[in-house]
Formats: sequence, structure tokens, C-alpha cells
Amino acid sequence: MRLRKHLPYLAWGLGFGFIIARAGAVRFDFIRDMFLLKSFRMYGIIGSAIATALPLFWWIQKRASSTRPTRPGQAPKLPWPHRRWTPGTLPGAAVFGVGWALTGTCPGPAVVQIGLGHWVALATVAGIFLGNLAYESAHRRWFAWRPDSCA
Amino acid sequence: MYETFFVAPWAWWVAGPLIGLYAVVFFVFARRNLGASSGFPAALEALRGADDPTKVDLSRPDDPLALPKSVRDPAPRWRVWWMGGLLLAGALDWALGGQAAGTLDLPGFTDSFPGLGLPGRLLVLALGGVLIGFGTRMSGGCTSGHAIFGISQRQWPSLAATATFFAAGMATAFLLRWALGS
Repeated sequence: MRLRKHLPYLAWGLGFGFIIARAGAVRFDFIRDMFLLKSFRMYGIIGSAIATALPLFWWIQKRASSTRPTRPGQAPKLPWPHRRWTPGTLPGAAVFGVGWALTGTCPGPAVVQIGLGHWVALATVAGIFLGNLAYESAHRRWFAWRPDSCA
Repeated sequence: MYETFFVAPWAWWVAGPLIGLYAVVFFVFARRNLGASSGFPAALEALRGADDPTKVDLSRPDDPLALPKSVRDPAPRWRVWWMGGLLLAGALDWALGGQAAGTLDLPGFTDSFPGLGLPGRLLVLALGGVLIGFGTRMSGGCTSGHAIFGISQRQWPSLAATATFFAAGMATAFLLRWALGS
């Protein structure tokens, strides 16, 4: 049943959205003050999130590679997919950074903002869809590489 | 007590470790990585009907722009549900009385663009949105996929991408403040 497969992800999204909403990652003023180096808050949040997750992921990787049979001399397989370098990795990140500073939101918080009743965020979300469509046609026309994604 | 949990923003040292724990627990239970920006192409695929698991041919090399599909994960539609959860989360925070919820504008946005009317502000947001959509799709990740999941898994492209979007964001914010005098 599709609904039973998908409903847990609604709950996962609810959890993530609520944490970032309470963290203030959905607030334009917090993001602006982060970029203007006026406030430590968002650096503390992102930094401590990585500091918490990194050792735990390391441990998961260690455990997975010790239980997985590998031939001698063969590098243990990561329990998650490798991110590939593409010619778009860094230019794309730079374009995203400009958009992040203009709107004060990354893709996830933009959706949360609509739920929060910041109705102007509908323009941001519409823009993100448009940007995706624009990238698809630009990629088909000019770029030859295989794109990477966080999927 | 209620004020601390549901109205005022959480302290950074509470929110940050919670986000980190969320990432690891999500990975352990769902056996996959997360990235908010992938929700948008997933929604586009769902609208086009391109993600129907009965129609996806896994043996044939597919469209390079399509989200990766495997036997275990044939349809990216769960990402659309996950985004629906984000929407509900915003509404929940609003209902519980979260600070700055229920204001039509974004907190602090109008002050940062003095002299700009509502159409102008909507245009700035839409333009910024286009850059976010184009950039995250080109780079293959955003703050969640690259900064949180990517760096925590020691993925070097993600670390470089994170440094790049922080630098570009800073440059833009300082340039805007200088140009607008806000």
C-alpha cells in the first residue's frame, strides 16, 4: 500500500521542519545576520549539527566495513553513496549562495515558511521550481556531464 | 516553560545537535540520505508521471536529469511527502505560537530592502528562488544535502560546495547592505 509506505516520510518531514522552524533557520533576519557576521547563532547550529553527526556516521561506517566481507586489498564499501565531483558542483553552489542571501532561505525552510503563514514565500517556492526547470533545459542544451544529486 | 519550547527560538546548542541526531537516525531507519532540494525535482517528476515505479525501466540507462532510481527505491515520490511534512511543520509551529509566525512578510525582510514595495519584494524572492533552484540542481545539494549530510559523511565535494555557497552568500549580503544602505 502506497500510503503506508509514504506516510512515515510525512512524519519525518514534520519532524525536520519543526526542528528547523524552532531553530530559527526559517527566519530571514537570522540568515542575514549570519551572512553579515553579526550573529554566531546559525554557525553554532550548523557546526554543532555536523559535530554531532560526523562521529556517529564515522562509527556507522566502521561497523559496516567490519561486518561486510571484503577481499584483501579491496577498499571497504561506504554504507552510503559517494558524492561525485561534477563541473557543476562549485558553480552551482555559488549560484545557490546568492539566492540564499537574497531570500534568506534554503530549499527546505522555504516550504516551512509557507506553513508558517509567510505568504510571500510562495514566490520563493515558485522561483525554486522555475529554477529547476531552467536548469533542466540549460543542462540538456549545454552541459555534457552526468549530474550528481543528494538522492 | 511553554514559552521556551514553543514560542522563543531554541538555543543553538539545542537545535544544532538535534539536527545532527536527526540526520543519523533518519539514515539508520530510512537507509538513505536526505536532501531538501531534491524534493523539487521529485515533485516535478511526480507531476509529469515520470516516477511511476511500474513504468520505470531499471535496466535501461535513464535520463541523466532524472533522480537516481534503484530496485529498492524505484520512485522518488517519498520526497514529495517529506516536503508535505515540512509544510505541516510550519503550520504546527504557527498554531503553537512560534515567534514571527503568521506575519505575511518574512521577519526583517522589508527593513533589508528599504523603499521596495510588495511587487518589488516578491520579485526579489522569486529571483532568489530561481537562483536557489538552478544552483542546488547544478551543484547537487543544498544546506541539508551538502552541509549536514555531506560534510558529516566526509564527502569532499560537499565540503567544497558548502564553503562556496557560504562565501557567495556572504559576498551577496555585504554587497546588498552596501548598495541599499540598510
